[in-house]
Formats: sequence, structure tokens, C-alpha cells
Amino acid sequence: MSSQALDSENSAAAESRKQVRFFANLAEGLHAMAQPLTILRSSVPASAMVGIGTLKQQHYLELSRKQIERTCSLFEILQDLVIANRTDADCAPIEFAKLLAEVAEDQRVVLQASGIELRIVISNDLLTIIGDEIRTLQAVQSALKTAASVSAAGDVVEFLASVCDGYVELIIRNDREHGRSLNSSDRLSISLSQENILSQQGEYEYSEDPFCIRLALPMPP
Amino acid sequence: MELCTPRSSSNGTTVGNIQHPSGNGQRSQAFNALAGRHILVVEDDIALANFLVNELQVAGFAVDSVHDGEQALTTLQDERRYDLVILDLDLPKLDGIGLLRRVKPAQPRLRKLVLTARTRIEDKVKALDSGADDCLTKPFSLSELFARINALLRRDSGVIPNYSQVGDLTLLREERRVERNGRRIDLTPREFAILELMMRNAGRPVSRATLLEQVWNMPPDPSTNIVDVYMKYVRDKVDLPGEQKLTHTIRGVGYEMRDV
Repeated sequence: MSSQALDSENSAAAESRKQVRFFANLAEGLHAMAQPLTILRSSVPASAMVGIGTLKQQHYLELSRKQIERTCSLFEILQDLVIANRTDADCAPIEFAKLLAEVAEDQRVVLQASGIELRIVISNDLLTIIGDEIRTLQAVQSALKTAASVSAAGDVVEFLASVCDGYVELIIRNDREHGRSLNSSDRLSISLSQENILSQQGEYEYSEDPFCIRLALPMPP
Repeated sequence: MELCTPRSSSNGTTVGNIQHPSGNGQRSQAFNALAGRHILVVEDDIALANFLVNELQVAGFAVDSVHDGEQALTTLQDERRYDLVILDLDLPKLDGIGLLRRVKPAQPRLRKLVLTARTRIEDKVKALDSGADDCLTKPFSLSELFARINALLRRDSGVIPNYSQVGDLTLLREERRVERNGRRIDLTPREFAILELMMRNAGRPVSRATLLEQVWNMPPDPSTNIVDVYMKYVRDKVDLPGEQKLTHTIRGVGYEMRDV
């Protein structure tokens, strides 16, 4: 088989994998959105019922408000997933260490408020990489958000960035075993994080128990 | 596991006699008869689980909840008091289908209602084939959920009279009160369940297997003598020396309550 034919076959296989991922992510997104919609389907009519009392009415209104927020947030993730899967990455040089430090610092404050410690170790030899800054940022934020979601007060989440075999690698993990399991919203966040990295020819792995995400982006030749 | 018991709604409405939020505004008398039945909710989405638990409690059910399949299996194996399990299919650690397959042989009388966001017919068929009694697709409305719960629990209930009498022995089911000739008989919940089943079937023999299945929610097991042990407790409380014997052993079958 000629190298041109081989390239063409590889490209078709990659596109096919991308399609499979796309539909799996779409199904995951719909599944996640079904949860708040189930609550809304009953909480909205309940809040409008006559004679249930002010306290009950406020309870259903607040519940509905939270579920609307949640639905909108899931919808945004789903939109971002579609963009990441169906459009090409906009690559440019990124100062990777700076980007990671900023995201991690922002999240450290948020996690601290929930009693979770974020331990940040960013290697000094992290170089500039060629990548899509928005996608990379979104990938790291989503991964950290999921780590926070499955962690509890007193936990330590590690954020470790280093250079490894021609890749810049980021590991986000919580070593506590039997933490909270991922729910459909968490899985959707991970899907977005993963899609953003894979669409830049990166690598992505995660495990649930103990929770660990490893993402890697290639360094320029 | 989060354990919850029935409670009053915040506006003081009587438990089990409330208007369901998404219902048509009519009081649901059906729930009165089913109030107090035990339900286990298995749902990994915490917000949805909490919502369901809250609404089911207000309807008068005793509700517990767990958030993954393994916890659910342990809970169902340890606690055989549930009348119904409501479970999501996409559960962490052990998925809904796996849970159904492992629970079904051990607890044939436990009703299983599956909640799923999967809309494909094949998924529902798979759940039903694996032991589910019914399936409901998310997003569902609470009124439909309650109607299905009601229908499932009614399958076991039939029309159960509140009042049963055998000779001078009387039993008031809802009040959980048993008297014989003016003498109040105190029974444990298990003893009460045995007597209630026996009195409902007065004049007919009730097999040990039926008692084991309906009172303990366990499959027939010839190696256990738990039915005989409990039956003795009941008999000692019901038939005092000098009183006419109402509980009879039917050799090779089980027990029967009769007045003669």
C-alpha cells in the first residue's frame, strides 16, 4: 500500500473515531440534561399550585431556579463539545506554565472554600507549546472542576505539570479511594476536557477510583 | 445510606393524603393505603435523588436512598424490608442491569421500577428482561411516577381489608392493633406481618414458602426454620392456655388459622 493510501486510510479511521466520540458525547449530554429536566417538569407546576403555602412555593421556586441554572450550564458544555468536535483547533504559541499557573491559582481559592487543598507543582522546564489556548484552558478548567466535584472537605487534589517524552503532561488526581462516583454531569465535563485535548492531537486518560486525569499536549518539534 | 422516614409536608398536610405537586390537584386516596411502604431510591444524580426522596416522603412512604449500584446491592441484601426499588440504569460501580440481575433471584417479590434517560426500545426490553417490573423514561413527571408506583405496589396489595377477624381474634391493619376477647396482643412487626397474612387467608393453609416469601421477601429455602420459630412466637401470644386454639399446624404444608 502506498504511503498516500495509508495516510488516507489513517485519516478516515481518525475521522470515524471522532464521529463515534461525537455521538457518545451527545448521548452523554442528553442523559445529563434529563436529570434537571425531570425535576423541572414537576417543580415548576408545583410552584404554581394554589394553596400549598408560601414556604412550599419558595422551596419549589428555588429548586426550579437551581435546575434551570444547571440545565443552562450543561447546555453550554454540550455546545462547547460540538464546537471542539466539529471545528479545527486554532493553534498558536501558548506559554503553558503561565496558563496552568493562572487556572490553578483561581481554582485553588475556590477549592479552599470547600475545605479541599489544591497542591500545585509546575515544573520550571515547561516550554511554550503550539496549541489552541481556549481549548487548552477549557480542558484544564473542566478537569479541575470535575476533580473538585468528586472530592470532599479534607481531601488533597494534586495538580502536577511536567515535561515527559516530547509532551507537556498535566496530572490532576485525588488519591483518596472510594470517593464520590462521577455522575452524568461530571462525565460530560470530562468529555469536554478530553475532546479539547484530542482535537489538538494530544493524549487523554482518566480513571475514576482513585480519581486521576492525565492530559498531554505535544511539544513543537 | 441516607435513611428517611415518612413525614408531614411543611404546610401541615396529613401524610399520605396530600396533593402531589405535578398532579391534577385531586387528593390521591390510593396513597393512603400504600403509605408506610418502604422504597429504596438508587440514583447517582444527588439533586434528583433528593427531590424524589422528599416527594415520596411527603406522600407517606418510608424512603432510603443510595447513589451507586454496589451500595444498592448491599442495602438490598442486608435489609429485606423494601417493597419497591426505584433505580436508574446508568449507575456507577454496578449498573442498573447488573443490579437487577443480581437482586431478582434472591428477592422475587421486590418490585423494581427503572428510571432511564435511554429512550431506545432495546434498552427498555433489556431492563424488563433482566427483572424490572416497569420502566419510566426521563424526564418524567412525578404524577406519572406516582401512578406507576401505585400500580406496582397494588399488585401485591390486592384489596387488603383493614379489619380481619378469626373467632374472637381481631386485627386492625392500619392501626396495627390486635385483640383477642378484649385482650390486647403486642406483636413485633414481623409477628404482625405473619398474623396479618394468616388471618387474610383464614380457613386456608399457608405454606412455609409463602410465609418466607411474603413476610421475609426471601425465596423458598427448606434449610431454614425461621418460619417455625416465628410461628411459635405468634402462637404463644395468640393462643393462651385455656383459649380455643386458632393457629393450626398442617403437617408437610405450613400453617392455618381457623375458628374450629
